[in-house]
Amino acid sequence: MKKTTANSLMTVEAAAALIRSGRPMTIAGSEALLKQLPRGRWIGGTIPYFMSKDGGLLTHHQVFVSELPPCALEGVTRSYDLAALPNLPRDGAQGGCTFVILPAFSAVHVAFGRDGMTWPGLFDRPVVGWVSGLDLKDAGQVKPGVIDGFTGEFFNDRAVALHVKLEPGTVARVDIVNIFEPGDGDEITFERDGFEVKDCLVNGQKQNFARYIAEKKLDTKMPLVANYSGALMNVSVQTADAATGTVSLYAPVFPGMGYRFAKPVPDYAHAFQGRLDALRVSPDFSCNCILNYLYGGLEGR
Amino acid sequence: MTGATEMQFSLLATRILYTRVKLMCAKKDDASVKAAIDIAFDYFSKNEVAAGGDLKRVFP
Repeated sequence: MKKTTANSLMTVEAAAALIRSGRPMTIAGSEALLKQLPRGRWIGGTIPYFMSKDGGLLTHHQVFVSELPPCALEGVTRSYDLAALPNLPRDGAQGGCTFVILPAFSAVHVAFGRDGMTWPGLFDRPVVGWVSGLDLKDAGQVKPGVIDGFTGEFFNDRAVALHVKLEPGTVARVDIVNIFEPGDGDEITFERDGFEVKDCLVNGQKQNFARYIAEKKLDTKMPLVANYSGALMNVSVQTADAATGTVSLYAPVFPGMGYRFAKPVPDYAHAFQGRLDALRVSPDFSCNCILNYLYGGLEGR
Repeated sequence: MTGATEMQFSLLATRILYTRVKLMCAKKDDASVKAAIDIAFDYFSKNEVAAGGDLKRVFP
């Protein structure tokens, strides 16, 4: 894909002008701002944490617009409830790509993470996207949401997708820049999939995962890392309660995969820049994990 | 394709697909193995341009 024309923070007025140009785009911002935007070929999700040109920034006064490049010929938006969600991958255009935003901690988020790999058509074309969130000071008071920019509908319980048709001869390629790699510690496996875990196997021996973390005094800011045939995938710990023996995760674990807690990363920004430079790419669309922002102290960097 | 050597793929999608196929085949029942073959065939058929290089790694 060629370089996109807009991939930055901007005012609601500037975003509205871009939407009226008819270009397909994804938009991130606070709920109040997303609801002010005009209808068009866009999808959006709530989040106030951004990586701006001047570094990490928390703001409720601007939105982040990712305008798709000229090779994105058409964009069709659609929302999916839990029942319709398995149809999302195959609804995309042949030879195109799909952008998706899921409200964090919703049933569609859980289903996509846990079951998405089994849905028909998932491997037919690239599907890329992110999970909407909220200002952590509002946790428990507001829910993460998404918006279908074509209809103006805002949801807390549906996924929104932008199915994009690409110029003939153009191919979208998705990749991950992961600053983490597996540490030298125990191999952890799980007998069941899910976002909430009680028991696990540590080097083949059954243990309660929460108590294992407590006994080993493991730093739960470090994610579990699994190797998907050369692609390193992270599963971060949300809470680990040794009293109840329950660990809540931000992504599901799967039976048959081996996980290790990641090696510490002393400087997230430096590590990320190094990995990105090595790839020698200039992506048209990118998104970051909020845990990198928070744990890596990226605000202002 | 054997279990003795880990394949080295260039595309993220192929790496995830390969992992999915391996997990399905690990169930060792005919239906899962057939489904895994179908998924892999579909993937390489529908992404001939993007994934052609990875296909050559499977069938040099």
